[in-house]
Amino acid sequence: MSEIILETRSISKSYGGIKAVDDVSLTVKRASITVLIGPNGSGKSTLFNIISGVDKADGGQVFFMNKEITHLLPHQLFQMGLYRTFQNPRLFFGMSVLENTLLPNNSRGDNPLFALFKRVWQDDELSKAEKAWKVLGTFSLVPLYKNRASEISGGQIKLLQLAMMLMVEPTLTLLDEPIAGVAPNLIPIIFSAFQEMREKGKTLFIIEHRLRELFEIADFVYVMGRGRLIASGTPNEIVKNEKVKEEYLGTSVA
Amino acid sequence: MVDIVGFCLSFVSFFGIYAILTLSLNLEYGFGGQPNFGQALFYGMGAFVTAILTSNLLLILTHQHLENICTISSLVERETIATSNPSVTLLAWAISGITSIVVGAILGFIASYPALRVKEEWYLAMVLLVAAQIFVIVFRYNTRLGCGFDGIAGISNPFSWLVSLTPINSPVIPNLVYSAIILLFTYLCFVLTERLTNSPFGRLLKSVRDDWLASSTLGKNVNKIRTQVMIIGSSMASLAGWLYVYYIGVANTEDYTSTFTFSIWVMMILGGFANNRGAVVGAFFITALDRFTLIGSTLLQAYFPGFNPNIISYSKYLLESLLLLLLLVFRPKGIMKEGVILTPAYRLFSLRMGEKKNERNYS
Repeated sequence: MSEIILETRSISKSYGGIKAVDDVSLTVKRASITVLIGPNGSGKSTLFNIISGVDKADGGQVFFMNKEITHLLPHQLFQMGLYRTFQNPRLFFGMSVLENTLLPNNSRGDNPLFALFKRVWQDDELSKAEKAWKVLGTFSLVPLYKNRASEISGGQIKLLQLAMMLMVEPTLTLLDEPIAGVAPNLIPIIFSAFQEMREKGKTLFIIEHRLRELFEIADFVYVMGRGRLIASGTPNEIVKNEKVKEEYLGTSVA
Repeated sequence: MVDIVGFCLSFVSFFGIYAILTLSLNLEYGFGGQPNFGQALFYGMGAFVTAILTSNLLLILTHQHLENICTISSLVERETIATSNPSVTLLAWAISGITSIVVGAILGFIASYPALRVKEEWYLAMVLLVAAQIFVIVFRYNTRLGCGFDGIAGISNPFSWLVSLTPINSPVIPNLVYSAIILLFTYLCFVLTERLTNSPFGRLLKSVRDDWLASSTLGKNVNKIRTQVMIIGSSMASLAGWLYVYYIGVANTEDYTSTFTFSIWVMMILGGFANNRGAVVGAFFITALDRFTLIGSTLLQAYFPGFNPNIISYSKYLLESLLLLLLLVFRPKGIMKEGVILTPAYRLFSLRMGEKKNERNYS
């Protein structure tokens, strides 16, 4: 049995009397691609916000690598190896594609005193640049390196988000709809990047509307509906599940 | 009629001081997204710390007993020491400089506290605006602290003693030396901000400006970055206050009102956000406007004795607004555009992509 990397215990969160997340307990295994699906408004993104420290839960606990992280701040979670992307991509739109890509990794030049002396952080910067060259190359973003993030297409923004994630290679990544709006011919490239991450022992926890897109690569699936966890299982089990079909009201799951 | 040398020296000195203030504001707002509406507070604190410290230090260092620094006799005493005792004068100048930078840094640290508490950064702007107003009121109406309406006068040029060493008995030499020193500090501040902003720290600043929440999910300690930029920015502003008091000879609240804060904002907007060269250019334009309207009013008064000089000094603000309007029509992003963060990584990419060497604009 493989190790559990992320666990939520009875997470609840209400907004104005409506239970956005209601008593959700789930586990994510290390080196897996775990998918969380559910219709609009089922509480998927709220759950991600709570796990990543962006929102505070009303009740429940979150454990990451066997440590309780319920009350930690986003930047502390990042330093522990937890990375997240947003559904509506939150990049730095006044900065270039290259600057966005170089931002996530720590550098000695992050300290203003060291920043004054290029010699201190030059090597850091150049090795990051080499990695950025490779990662941006994977997604054909190199020619756009000095375009502002506000001036590239929506699909390219999604790719840039993934590029930033690949720069860090975090232990656990929460991806909120990473392939929505991406050109179909780029999806195989993204999937092979995901699979490569999994082979390196990294864990991906992905939100999507439907399972169809991720059916091929998903190891385990959770389904949410109206704030509750309604089903879990392998992709094959989920497509046969009657309760899940009901929740999607006639629309096909797979 | 018009002293050309004197005019040029005053132009250079004002330009240097305004440029430091604009560079500091641009670092805080243009790069870091912290809207500082209290720039005059940090500038004025530097000035008053300098004036109070210098007044007392000159007496302490010459072993005289301390007296009320606001009296005419103490003013005369200060000026005598400045012209006759170089070592004491320079020592007081240096100590007050270092102290005002430290005080500026501490104030910046305190100012960053509301920045951490407020979610909308424009609340920070309001808090700092109010703080700056309180500062002016306290120093204006407290007759002991900053000598009230008159301010603390008699802070001579720290090189006044040069007059007696030169054959020409004129303050031109000390003024020349001091203007050069102001320009030297301006250059140092420019190099400092250029280095800070073209580094990984510069990326952190812009990321906090663009989306602080996203920045924190990428592991950046946003609060720490805000504190750091406020400390650096306000110590630069206090440095400018120190330079200014020794140039103008008096610390008076008139020079540190919020109206002046907005003049610095005009300089920054004119030059262009997040561009250090732009900040210097913006400061140059406003200095020119400031100095030429002043000289214009002097000339008009000389030729037309009944002329009301206020008209010209108000015309300065009119022209400033006109300049801003023209800017919004023709160059809404300022005279100089925001440039890329120039690090070895950018150089590597631009080299491999076969770009021109000096290209540093976003495409």
